[in-house]
Amino acid sequence: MAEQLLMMALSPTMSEGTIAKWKVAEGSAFAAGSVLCEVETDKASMDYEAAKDAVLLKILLPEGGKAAVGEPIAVIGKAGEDPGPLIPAAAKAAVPAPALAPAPAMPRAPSFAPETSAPGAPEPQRVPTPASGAGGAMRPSAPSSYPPSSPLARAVARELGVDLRNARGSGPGGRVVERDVRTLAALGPAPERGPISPQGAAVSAAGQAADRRLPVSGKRAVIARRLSESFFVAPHFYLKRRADAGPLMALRETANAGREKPISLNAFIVKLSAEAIVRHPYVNSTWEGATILERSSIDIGLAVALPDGLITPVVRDCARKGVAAIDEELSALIAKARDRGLAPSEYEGAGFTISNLGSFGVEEFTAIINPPGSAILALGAALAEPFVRGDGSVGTRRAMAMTLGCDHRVIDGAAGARFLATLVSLIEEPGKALL
Amino acid sequence: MAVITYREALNRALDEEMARDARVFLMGEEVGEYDGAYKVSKGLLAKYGPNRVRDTPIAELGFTGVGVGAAIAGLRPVVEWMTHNFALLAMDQVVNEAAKMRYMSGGQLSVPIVFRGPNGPAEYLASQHSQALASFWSHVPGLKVLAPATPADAYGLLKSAIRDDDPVVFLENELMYATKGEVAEDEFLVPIGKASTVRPGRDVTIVSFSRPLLAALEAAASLAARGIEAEVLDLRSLRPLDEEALYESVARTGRCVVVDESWPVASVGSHVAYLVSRGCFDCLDAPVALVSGEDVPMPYNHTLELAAQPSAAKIEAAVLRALYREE
Repeated sequence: MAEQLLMMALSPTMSEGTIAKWKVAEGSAFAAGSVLCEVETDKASMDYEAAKDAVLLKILLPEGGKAAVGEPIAVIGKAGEDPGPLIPAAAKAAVPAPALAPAPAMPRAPSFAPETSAPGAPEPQRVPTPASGAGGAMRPSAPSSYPPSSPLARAVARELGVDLRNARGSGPGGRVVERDVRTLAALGPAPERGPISPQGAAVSAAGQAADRRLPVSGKRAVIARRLSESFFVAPHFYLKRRADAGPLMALRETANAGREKPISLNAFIVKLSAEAIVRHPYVNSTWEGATILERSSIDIGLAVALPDGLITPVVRDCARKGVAAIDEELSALIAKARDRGLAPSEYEGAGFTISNLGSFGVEEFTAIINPPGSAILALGAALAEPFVRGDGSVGTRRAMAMTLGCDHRVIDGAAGARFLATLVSLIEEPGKALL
Repeated sequence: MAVITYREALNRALDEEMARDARVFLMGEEVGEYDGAYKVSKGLLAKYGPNRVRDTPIAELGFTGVGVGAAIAGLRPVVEWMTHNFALLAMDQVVNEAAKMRYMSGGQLSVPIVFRGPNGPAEYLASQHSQALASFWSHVPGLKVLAPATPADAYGLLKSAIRDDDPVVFLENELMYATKGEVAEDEFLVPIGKASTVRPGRDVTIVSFSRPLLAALEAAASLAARGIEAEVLDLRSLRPLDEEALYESVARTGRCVVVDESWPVASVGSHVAYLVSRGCFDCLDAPVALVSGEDVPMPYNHTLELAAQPSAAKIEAAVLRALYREE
């Protein structure tokens, strides 16, 4: 029997996906395990694999189209079956202009599209959508722009004046639950959702550029949600120190002598941070409410800027790896991130994060903690500056501003200061890391 | 406040009610000479004599019918079934006679009778002797159905049941007879139709009754260690059922896990889940969950027997799912 193929969550945080490319043509058969399409998720491009052998009867969501998890993207079944009854009216309406849409491969059966019903005519019967898979859960028949939501979430949304269409569901199947509505409400009023101009940057009659309203990508939405949650929920405080970067620069120069590919400064900082965490393990922990998780493995994330938003590839178990190994992993992960090919396991779960804006000439800055970590190190550029030596004489050095952002629920001021002092001393005398 | 067993609490209630009202008498298999199959009637034959503590043949339909007739004629019988499994044989007298008599006589007749005995699985008793039959009785209009989980409730509810002018099915539990709890030394009654909040909480409501309540409390203690405050509601009375208490609690917590050791289809638990879904629709942040006995005859193999019943671990997992904190 024909059934709808639903957008599924291809990563733990994915709530919607965009079809990057269909790999199977309408009318073609495919085998279980073969790739049906590539889906651009919140953070990466993922393969959508077939769960069983079938024929792709009808593509409901064309390339470039976006669907929430749980929404139909295609109809599959046996060769020759009629997909018509399983094509939802909303999906038909969402199909792009005829010039772009492929000609329908099969005649459509008359359906229940409400727009065809005459005013005053009885509401056409909605055809129940058979749920795909063994779960058998009923899919809500709400308009597709509304994500599924719990009754309490709807009641709280009414009370707080939150538009559920803006909510990202963290429940099963993307269900919006109470906490999602409260998170959204905490972010303040959302801009009015208007139709997006099909021309993009429209030009007003007077010839001046008009305002543009851009759709939020899945990735941008995740960045917005995660960082808002972190900033509003975790009480942040910041500690600042300057470190003499001279000895570390010198060490790096020595280490790179004769190496075909020089080791990056970031790899050294990652390693020295790991060594500082070994001496202060409470930094590598997570607030869990009733408990605090102190991690055994020191997994450090490095914020990497991409044209459409940042991502944080993670090097695992840095305490047990040398600087060269860390550098090798980092450059492989960064290359993958640039190709949007990072797997969730490669960017999730950092217990500590480093953000380095030194290459942009930023002298110093503060960063928002990257959950589930409880601390983030913001590094500025290593710039020459005058300084007063211990004996009162004045000299110059290359100093790097370091700002440690801490979650006060886990790390107190003095505890953060002790960690930062250790890190500064390791950067100023890297040999101490060997002790 | 004395700490006594569930068994002793039932015995005290029977003793006090027999002393209080000469119309009250006990009958059933081995309730007299043997002091009761589970010693609930210990000492009563010696104290009240064979006219008021009567041993019967092994014929449930017969002696249950005698009890119904005696109740119509003006006595206040307490009929002990050795277990509710055997009461299936007596079902016609309970469902067709006791439950219908007031209605079909236009209120001229009443049947003040208590049917009591252990219900639910014990251990190593196999399919025919390990059934939780609360749903069978709760289905029937005209019956009251009580299922206490603590000695104090066993005492106070049995006294209320004996004084009630309508037929009451009283569900005890073999594995609870030896459980202990505080029971006030001064006489008291527990009203029929009132649930009890045995543990207050704010994150989720766990609704249960009879022995699974103990597993629910165990789960709640374990959840508290991870910062989840579960409210535990003991229904105590399955018919009439305290809907107000249910709605009041779930309206505060927004989540509900129902625990019933019966089979899941058309059970007290599934009915409670329906009531909560209907009465608290706008308050629910997650579907109402039902932790039930598995939908199979009780296995004899002990590992499977335990796996087929609700447990603290199953309840805890259901709570985490309802909180979207599944692990």
